[in-house]
Amino acid sequence: MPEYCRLLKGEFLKQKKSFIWPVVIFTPLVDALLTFVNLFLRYDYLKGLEANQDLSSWQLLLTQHHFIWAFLLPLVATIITSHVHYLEYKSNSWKQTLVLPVSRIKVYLAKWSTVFILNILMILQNSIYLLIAGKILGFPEIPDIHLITIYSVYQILAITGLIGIQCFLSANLYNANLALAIGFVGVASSLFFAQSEQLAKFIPYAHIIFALPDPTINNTIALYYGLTFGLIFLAVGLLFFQSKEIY
Amino acid sequence: MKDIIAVELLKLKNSKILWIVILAPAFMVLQGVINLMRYYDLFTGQGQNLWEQLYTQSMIFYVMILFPALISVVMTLVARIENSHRGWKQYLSLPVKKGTVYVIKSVIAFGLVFINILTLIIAMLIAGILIGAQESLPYLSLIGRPLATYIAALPIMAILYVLSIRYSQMTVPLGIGIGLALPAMLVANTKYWLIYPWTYPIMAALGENMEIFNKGHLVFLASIILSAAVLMYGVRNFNKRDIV
Repeated sequence: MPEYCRLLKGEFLKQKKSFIWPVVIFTPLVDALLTFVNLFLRYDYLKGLEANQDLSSWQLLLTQHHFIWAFLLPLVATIITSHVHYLEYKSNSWKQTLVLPVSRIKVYLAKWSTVFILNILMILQNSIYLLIAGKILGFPEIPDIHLITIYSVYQILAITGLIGIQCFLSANLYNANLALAIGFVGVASSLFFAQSEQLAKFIPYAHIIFALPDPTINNTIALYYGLTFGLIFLAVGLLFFQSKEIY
Repeated sequence: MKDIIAVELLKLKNSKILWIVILAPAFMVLQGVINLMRYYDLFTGQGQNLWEQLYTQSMIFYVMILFPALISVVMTLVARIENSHRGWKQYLSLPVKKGTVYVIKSVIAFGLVFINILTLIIAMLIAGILIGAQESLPYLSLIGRPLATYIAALPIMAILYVLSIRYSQMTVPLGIGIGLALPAMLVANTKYWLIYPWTYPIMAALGENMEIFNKGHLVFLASIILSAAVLMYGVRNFNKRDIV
């Protein structure tokens, strides 16, 4: 365990002066700001729509927000995953890391955990910003902490599958851009996959779309399939990483 | 100059970039075709043109998400070797003109994005024939609008190219490219679209089908002026920059 902790600490040290921090900090902020502006300008119009009449203001906030966030979060998660692995390729340091007497499993787990933690940070920040946005907008209902907490948990579980597959690709493909491109194509197609629940279950890029707590959305896809695929790809990634060739 | 072009192409030889720029739009068209066939009656039930429907189904997510994302990837990739192994220092200590290197790299990067658009057009043509579209081919929609989308995307390419050369961290052009791409869907619906170049491809690609995105030739005028300005700034900045 101390070895894993040191590796994890090392991963965060590598990110110290990287552009990943502005990305992690500003992405949820910009997204929440867009949602705020959207509702600030169109709250009455949106509330008046027949489809939204049964929604509370907080549900409306999440519904409007999810339209962009369901794409932005997985795209940024893809960038973060590639960046965390690209650092090793860029400085040719896989060779140095993997010839040291450290467990390859722990090296891979430390990278996976770094990506996972950064994503959790984004999701939690975003949830806090949404609460603040709702407060500033002066919603008539009291802040729906329960709804936003559930939404955060669903997102964390849903994004696990994508992190798993992107970590697997990024660690095993020498060309970071290839992993990025696969991720981007996956995310761009996610809404298409999401049209079929049967198909979406098996496509980790589409899981996040099902993370919106809404009675019309099947959240079990985000909850169970996100987590299951996350663990499966983590295991597959570990397996492949064990036999990774170094030059 | 020929040597620089040859070297630049050689660097990309094993980068799989050609696969990326070819397969990504082909996959989006495939997805569009599947969606079109799935809801065939809905999309064509009122006598709509099948080619037009194929275009819309293929283009909607491509232009809003994948296209700007792929531009970020391409621009990052062309500067990858120099950025990753302190290659600028070695490259520019050779008897080559800084400006020439910069321009050739940009032409190759812009060319790769053009291949991406060409693949999209070819994939849509093949898909239309395969699904048995009977109507005469709407050249303007299927060929003209994707080419117009390319022109409209020139400022995005220029901005991300300048960032890719300027910053060695790939997260800078990627983060900015993606971060600004998604809000474009919202900004495109407002009067501020003109100051937000990420909306231009949306206007060019979907303007004919959706009135709100129809901004006429202003998109292209803004696009050409802005991309020329950004590229000129980029060359000037690169020429003046110290390589350490």
